Amino acid sequence: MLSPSCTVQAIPVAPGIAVGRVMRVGGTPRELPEPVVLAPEMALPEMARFNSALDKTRIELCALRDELREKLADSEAGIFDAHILLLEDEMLLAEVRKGIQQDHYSAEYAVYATIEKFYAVFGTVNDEYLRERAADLRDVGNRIMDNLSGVDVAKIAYNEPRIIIASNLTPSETVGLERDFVLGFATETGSATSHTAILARSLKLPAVVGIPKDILDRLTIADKLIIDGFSGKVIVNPDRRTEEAYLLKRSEEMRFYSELTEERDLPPETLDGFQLQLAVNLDADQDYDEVHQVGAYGVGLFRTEFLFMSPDSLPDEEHQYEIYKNLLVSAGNQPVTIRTIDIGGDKLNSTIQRSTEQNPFLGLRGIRLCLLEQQKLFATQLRALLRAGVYGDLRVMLPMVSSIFELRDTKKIIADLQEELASENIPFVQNLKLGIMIETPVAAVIARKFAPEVDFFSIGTNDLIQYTMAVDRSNERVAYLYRPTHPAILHLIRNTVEAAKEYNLYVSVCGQMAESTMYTPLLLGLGVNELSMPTASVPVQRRLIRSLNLIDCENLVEQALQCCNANEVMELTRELVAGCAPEMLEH
Amino acid sequence: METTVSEKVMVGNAMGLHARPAAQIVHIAGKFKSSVFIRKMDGSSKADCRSVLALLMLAASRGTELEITASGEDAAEAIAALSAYFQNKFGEN
Repeated sequence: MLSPSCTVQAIPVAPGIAVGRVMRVGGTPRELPEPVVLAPEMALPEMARFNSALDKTRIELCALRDELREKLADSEAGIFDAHILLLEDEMLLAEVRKGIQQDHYSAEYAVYATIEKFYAVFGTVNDEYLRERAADLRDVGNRIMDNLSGVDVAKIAYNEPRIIIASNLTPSETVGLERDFVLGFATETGSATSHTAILARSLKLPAVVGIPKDILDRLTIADKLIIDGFSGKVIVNPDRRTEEAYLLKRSEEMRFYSELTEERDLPPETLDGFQLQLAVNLDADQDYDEVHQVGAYGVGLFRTEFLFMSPDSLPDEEHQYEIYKNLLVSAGNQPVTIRTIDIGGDKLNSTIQRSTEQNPFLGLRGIRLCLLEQQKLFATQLRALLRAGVYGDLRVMLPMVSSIFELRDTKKIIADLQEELASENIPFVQNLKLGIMIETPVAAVIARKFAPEVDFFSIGTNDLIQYTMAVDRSNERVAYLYRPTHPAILHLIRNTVEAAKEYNLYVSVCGQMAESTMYTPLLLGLGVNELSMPTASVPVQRRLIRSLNLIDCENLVEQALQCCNANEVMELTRELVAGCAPEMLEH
Repeated sequence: METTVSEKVMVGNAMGLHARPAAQIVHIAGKFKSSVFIRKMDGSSKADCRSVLALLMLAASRGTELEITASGEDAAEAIAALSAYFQNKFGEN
């Protein structure tokens, strides 16, 4: 049964238009209020989906059982044996199959109804103990339902890309997303700076947030959505005319971007001949080919946190070495900047950061955590990097540096590790190119002191802005104060670039500021050497750079530095772009 | 030789015949060739010992009287193993 047609206004956080059926990620509502009945032809894919959810659940339970067995007595692990047996129980499976095949229930509802049917037997039992233990049944049901909503499961079931819906997307939930099967994102919570938005923009997929919970919860896999990432409009089960109008709008968008793709071999050079380097923030699951496809040069940011996201194990040196080495080999002679583990703040991992902090963004994160609490983990990573470095043009970047001692301590560790590797006769890179992120105001202000001791700077604008403006970028109530065009930010970048020029250092910018065309004239005028961004932003940035004059950008910056608020700077920038590349303002 | 053996048992542990002992019963019964059933003495329900769900559906709390019936060449051994497990109160309390 389809949800009723309706239109709601949500908040647009990533531009573009998506039309397609939905797929839920993350927490499934456990209480399904009414049966979800599908078209009969959906029974087959629903069965496939159910079967792969069963497989996944079994693997999960076996892992849990084995883990418990190591820690506790066999008798405790026995409960998982029971859960595993339930997954194979003919009586249970027959009931679910009947629900899917005869009643045409969605797999979720068939599981839910089956579990509740059997569970009801315990409702009549007088014994409280036994009634409580019946929760095991629901546990198993919930586990299957959770896996039914998993994305890779859905991929097997419907060879069709979908719009991801979720109450909120967490970084760990998006790790497993298969790009080719995602059309866009629609979530209940979040803001323009939330994880969902960042992910969507980096994939060049539309996203909206702020969809009312009652509407979102009602949606099933059979429902179709239009999401308009420009206006924020969301249409549930649109009529044919509306759908066609949006499909047309979408194809115009796609034409613009495919035109851009054809320009990929042109140098990202201003009209007056200044060449800016366009590098890529490469994600763990991206192939290096994507860098070539957009005609970018090198990797300006390779995050390593994903290696440490697994809930129960940390990667060893060999594992990391292989990953870094493969990346460097596939990059050939192009530079690859790898950032050492940057955990803390919004990327907490329970195995690494045990203590809770009142204010994690001002707490033990990034290089601080590595030097003070996780020396072993840090040394393992650096050793892997030193070894992999012989395979290409490696640059290692330290996050969250706020003191010269953090840099010096790290260099000491590197020197010790090099000595160690030499004594073990293991090949390693002798002159490791080491740089720091400029993402704390303190580092930007004393950049001149850092400059003689590093090989490059990389400006992490997201944190630099949040720390300078004293604004939590994920707090919607103050997010309006988070402004890349604020003159204070420009002064800090200017100071960093001037320090770098004195020592002939290369300056890259790798925050979101580098991916939006709105800020490119400012960054050009400030004199940075490189912008590093998601692959999807490269074509449009190249087009813009090729329409600008460096001298205009430098004049813009001189004016902007005299301003006292972000709006004035924004207005000046907009005027400049409107004059030389008006089509940029529409996309 | 095909035989059928029955024995009465009682659920002795505090939590009753919940998922863990039910799974264990499936494991024990599975070691024998005989088919094994458990029914409630009040005749209200009967469970095939191959199905953990069916055993759970007996909803047998502490003190419930049950009858185990095994049919097959090793029926006596199956009954002996299962009734020992009941007498041991499923290894709980």
